[in-house]
Amino acid sequence: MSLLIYQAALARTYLDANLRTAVRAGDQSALAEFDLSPDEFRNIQQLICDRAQEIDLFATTLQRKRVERLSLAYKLLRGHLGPNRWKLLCDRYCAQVTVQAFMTPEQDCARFGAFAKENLDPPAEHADRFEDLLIFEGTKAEVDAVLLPQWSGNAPSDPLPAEARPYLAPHARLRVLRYLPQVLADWANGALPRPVPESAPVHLIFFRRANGADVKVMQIGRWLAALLDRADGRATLPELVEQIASLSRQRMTLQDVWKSMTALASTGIIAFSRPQGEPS
Amino acid sequence: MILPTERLGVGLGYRPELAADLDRYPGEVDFLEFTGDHCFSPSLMAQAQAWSRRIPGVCHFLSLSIGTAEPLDPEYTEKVGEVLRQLGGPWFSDHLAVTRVQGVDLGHLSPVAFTEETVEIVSRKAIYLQERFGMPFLLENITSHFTLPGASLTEWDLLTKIVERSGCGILLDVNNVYVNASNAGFDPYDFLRGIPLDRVLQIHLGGAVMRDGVMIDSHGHPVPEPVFDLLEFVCDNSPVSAILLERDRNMPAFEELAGDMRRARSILDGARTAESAPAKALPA
Repeated sequence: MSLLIYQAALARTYLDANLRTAVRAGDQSALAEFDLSPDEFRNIQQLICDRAQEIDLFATTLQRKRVERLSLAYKLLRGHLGPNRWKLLCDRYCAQVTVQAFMTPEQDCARFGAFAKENLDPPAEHADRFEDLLIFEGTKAEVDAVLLPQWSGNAPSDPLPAEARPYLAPHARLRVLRYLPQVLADWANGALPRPVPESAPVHLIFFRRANGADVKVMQIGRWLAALLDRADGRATLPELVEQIASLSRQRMTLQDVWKSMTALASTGIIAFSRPQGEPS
Repeated sequence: MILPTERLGVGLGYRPELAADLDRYPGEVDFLEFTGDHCFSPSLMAQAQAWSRRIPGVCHFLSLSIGTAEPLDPEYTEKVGEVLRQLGGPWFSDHLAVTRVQGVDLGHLSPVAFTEETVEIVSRKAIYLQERFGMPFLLENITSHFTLPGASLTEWDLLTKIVERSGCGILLDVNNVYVNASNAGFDPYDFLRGIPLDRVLQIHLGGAVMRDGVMIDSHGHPVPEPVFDLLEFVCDNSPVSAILLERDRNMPAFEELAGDMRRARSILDGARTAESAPAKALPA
């Protein structure tokens, strides 16, 4: 058996508790993909049986690290589900989704969000809040997982050129929720005040600052959200203002837009494309 | 490769939560160790760059998986290079371990086989890394609760052969020596006697805790007295340049960390003062 095959088979046994059980029981088909001879299989089986406690401890440590990270990223979901359901969800996730090569802890957390959405049934009475909760924490994890945010570095000049074409930076996310994050947090923690606030569209930008590790969440107005939703690096600011004019009773000036865009550009949330070309 | 002789002193692993204390207690931390993998995130890279302009830094990586019997991952290695280009430092380091095999990332340091084949695999990669990045590479010993079957070498023989063949240095985790010795029942000084101490440039100093009858390298408890004894022994017999106090969880008040750092510094200073004197004899 080559060392590489041996290492690969061992890696699988570290990660998969069911596989360890099967190997201990002598089920040679458990490691069939590695095409081991009976002697080679016995070699691994012997290690896993002889050092069962140590290897289980090693495997448990690996999973504990993952679950600790998930617990930090999904505090609200964990609070809402309670310890037992949370543990079951994490156990299922860790069993079904092995950590892929160079999937960072942040990417692992982002992937968990999608897994939770697919595998959890929303509560009958509060499906909308539950959905918002998954979007909120899942998007935070997603933004945190962007390894190479492209900071714009091309903040608008003063005065802003008429041909400047803004676009949302690839590491920022615009989301519309029905509830404010604080309402979601109160609900998840079981401390929702009475009367329950009415739902209304809440426009949020999730982003990271260049000098900060944490994902920030900024609430923005409807018109700015509409503008950013259309800002694809092709339309100029006057064109965008024209497109969203009908959404607001109060007609916005280019100066209003310029102020907002300058503020967003300074945080790296938006960038501007070159006049003739694709986004820079 | 010739190892640097400059002294870095006693430092901490950088984490954003430390920033306020680093500002509040200038001079307590001689150097910072940046976890290179964290610096793949531009926000943390920006922080690391800012701090490295104020306090000397070294880069420590987690996932080269130098013990895997397949080539280094080119994408990961490129990222390592980018971090080193941006943060520099007198050397860089990773663990003598397997963390990735055939596309599966263990997310954890798993042991290598103590064999000549491993010596060959690791040495080749260490030589390549030093040539590619033009700076010394240090290998760190890990904790392991089990030894893979078929070992033809001891752990210290393995490390020694790799160092001799590749010319790399050693990042000696004295707590890991203590933990492995406690669990496997060997004398930690056998380990220290068995490795080329003249290649030890950096030390990791951490805490351990007994859990279910097994000693765990916790990074979350005070440094045990026997580990300080090991530190003193190594400092007296090697050209140690840097001692890093590892603490990742159960973070105490900074004053407590500073106390351990001062103690480590006094051990390092004592060893340096005695530099002109003959080295202490290794325990038989």
